[in-house]
Amino acid sequence: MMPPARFFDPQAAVKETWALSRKLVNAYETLNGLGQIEVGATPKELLFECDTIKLYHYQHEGRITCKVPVLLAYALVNRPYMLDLQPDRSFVRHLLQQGLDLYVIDWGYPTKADKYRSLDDYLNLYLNDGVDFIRQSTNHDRVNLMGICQGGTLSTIYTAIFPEKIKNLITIVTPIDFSTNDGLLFRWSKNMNADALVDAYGVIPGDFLNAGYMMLRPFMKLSKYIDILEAMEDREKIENFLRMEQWLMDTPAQAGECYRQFVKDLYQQNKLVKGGLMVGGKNVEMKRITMPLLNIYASDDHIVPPSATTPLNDIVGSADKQLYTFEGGHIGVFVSAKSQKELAPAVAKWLHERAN
Amino acid sequence: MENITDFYNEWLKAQKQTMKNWMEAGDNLRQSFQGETKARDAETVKRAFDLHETFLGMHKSWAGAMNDAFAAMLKNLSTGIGRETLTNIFSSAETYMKLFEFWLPLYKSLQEKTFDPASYQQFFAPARYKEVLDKVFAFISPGSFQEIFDQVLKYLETVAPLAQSQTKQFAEFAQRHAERFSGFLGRDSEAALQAYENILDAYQKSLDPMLKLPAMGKSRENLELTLSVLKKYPAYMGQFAKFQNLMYGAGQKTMEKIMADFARRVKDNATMPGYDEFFKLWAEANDHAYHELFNTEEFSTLSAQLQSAGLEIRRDFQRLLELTLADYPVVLRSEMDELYKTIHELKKRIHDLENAMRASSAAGAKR
Repeated sequence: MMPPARFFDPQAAVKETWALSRKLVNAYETLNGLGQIEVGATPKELLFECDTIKLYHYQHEGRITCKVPVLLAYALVNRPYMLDLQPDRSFVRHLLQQGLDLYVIDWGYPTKADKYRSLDDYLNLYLNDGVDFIRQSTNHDRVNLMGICQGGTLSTIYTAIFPEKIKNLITIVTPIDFSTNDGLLFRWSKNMNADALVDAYGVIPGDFLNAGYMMLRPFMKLSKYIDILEAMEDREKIENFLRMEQWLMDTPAQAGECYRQFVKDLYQQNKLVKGGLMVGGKNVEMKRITMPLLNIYASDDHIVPPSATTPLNDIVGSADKQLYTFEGGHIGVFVSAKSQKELAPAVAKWLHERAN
Repeated sequence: MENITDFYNEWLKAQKQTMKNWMEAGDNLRQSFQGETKARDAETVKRAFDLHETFLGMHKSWAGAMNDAFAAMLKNLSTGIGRETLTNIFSSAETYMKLFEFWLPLYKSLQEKTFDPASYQQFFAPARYKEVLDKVFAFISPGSFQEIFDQVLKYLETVAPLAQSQTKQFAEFAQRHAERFSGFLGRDSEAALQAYENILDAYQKSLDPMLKLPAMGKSRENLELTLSVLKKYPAYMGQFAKFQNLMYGAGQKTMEKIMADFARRVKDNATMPGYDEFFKLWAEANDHAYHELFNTEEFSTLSAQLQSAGLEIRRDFQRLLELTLADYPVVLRSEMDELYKTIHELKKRIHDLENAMRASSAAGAKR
């Protein structure tokens, strides 16, 4: 055996612990000195609210060149300000600059009282009210619907139920084919006992969902917090980091009945692809989606893998349908520099071409 | 504490003292081996390990002091994302330093290219490494169910005073074994499962006879639910032991792979990493290994079973609470649920009526 003396270097230990201590104090001083972190900075006007749901209209500084209004629908499981995280990384701002007239539906934070809120409520009641409000207030029979992540799934189902109200459908990193096992959430959800979960909690706490998300890459999360210690002198970088942290930790609870149906009918029985999905007594038939479709997916998406998103184009009835590959990951679609430069103009161009 | 500067100065002073102690310990360590590095007698080796323990003990004290200091600092920070992030940073730094304890014995031997994994095994304490992994996976903990278990045991003594001697015996036995569950690491899952079997056996012997007593009305339902929770808790812990086995096993195998990689580097005379680089290598290797584990059907099935077992306990416990509180003037959860359901249905009806009214008004306006 090797003599243990050769294994030790107290000086290295002192140096390392001392350096870390300094960095931690530095982190404390930096974070203590920062004020409130602003997210979702693009000005918007509240048009109506119902229960926890709010419909906003984004203010635009320039000219609206695409008259058909665009309604953004984000996921229930995260907050929509990811699309408008900071002024220089705002998908919303870029879409506005491209001349689109933008609205967003904010699902809010369900409380214990929302245990019985169902998929039917979200689609046939809240989303439908939002769409109708925009149609009536803008005098357009049909609106453009842009769904993001789980919001894309909701938008797709809604469009299949009310195709007459939607002019163009855009889905971004949207799970459709839940039979895949490429993403961990898809694999894990298949074995989940959704009934037991909803019966025990009523409303699924955001912390429960966060624990699941943290399990996706626990060691990368650890590295992230160690790496950021090196950047404490760079105020801009720290503020950007905090904005993303704010979004990551801001996970709303999930209304029980909606969560139950989403897990059982989609993750476990894949009814969007196989058929048989019923929402509020209405049969969801994907072939009823006949309007133009732009389906955007991220090639390196580990949360919603391409195998879950791309099949949408095969099951809709649309003749005009396009699959758009974004080279990047799930979050990069909205916040990466490449996305700012590339994605918003591509979406706007596609919509302008189908405005009449 | 007056302000952050005062605190910082005090803290620096304490740090300097800790560092001084460390350096002295390091000198003692070196002196104890001077001129006898080739002797390798049992006494020398024992002394070295003792000093290693002393050194790690001091490191642990430092880490403890650091945690206390930062807990105090956090209290001064207003709530919000800054505080949340700082909490995560401190927690990650703690893990970073816990891993550093495993790096310490490596450093010198890697620099001198004398490292070999067999020797390192002497310093690799699985129980300590478990602490590192527990920090990483801090969000997976049976803690809340342990609390339920404790409460139910107390409750059992209240609802079934005649059975106190049996419950006490079972409680003590189960507690003793339940504590052991959390101490198992990787390859000890067999022992964990045996402990689970023992608890079930004790349960059968101690508590089942109570259910054979004559019916006692509402009390009987309470007792049945109580016993059901007690029975399910060891079952849950049994699942948890299997889950731990998968988790810790993957961690340990990854560490072994990293050591094998270092041994190859030494053999190839390659450049040796510093701690920062070691940490990155370790994090990346674990990220990869755990992704592979998480992506297996075995893991997915087991974690779902674990979750279900936990939810069953929660459900029974909630029911038990309701039965207990039923005679008191408090609103129960099931009653609130009924209320929520009624409100939900009423809201829908109002919404439908409003829509019908709007449609009717619009039709009237057109006419």
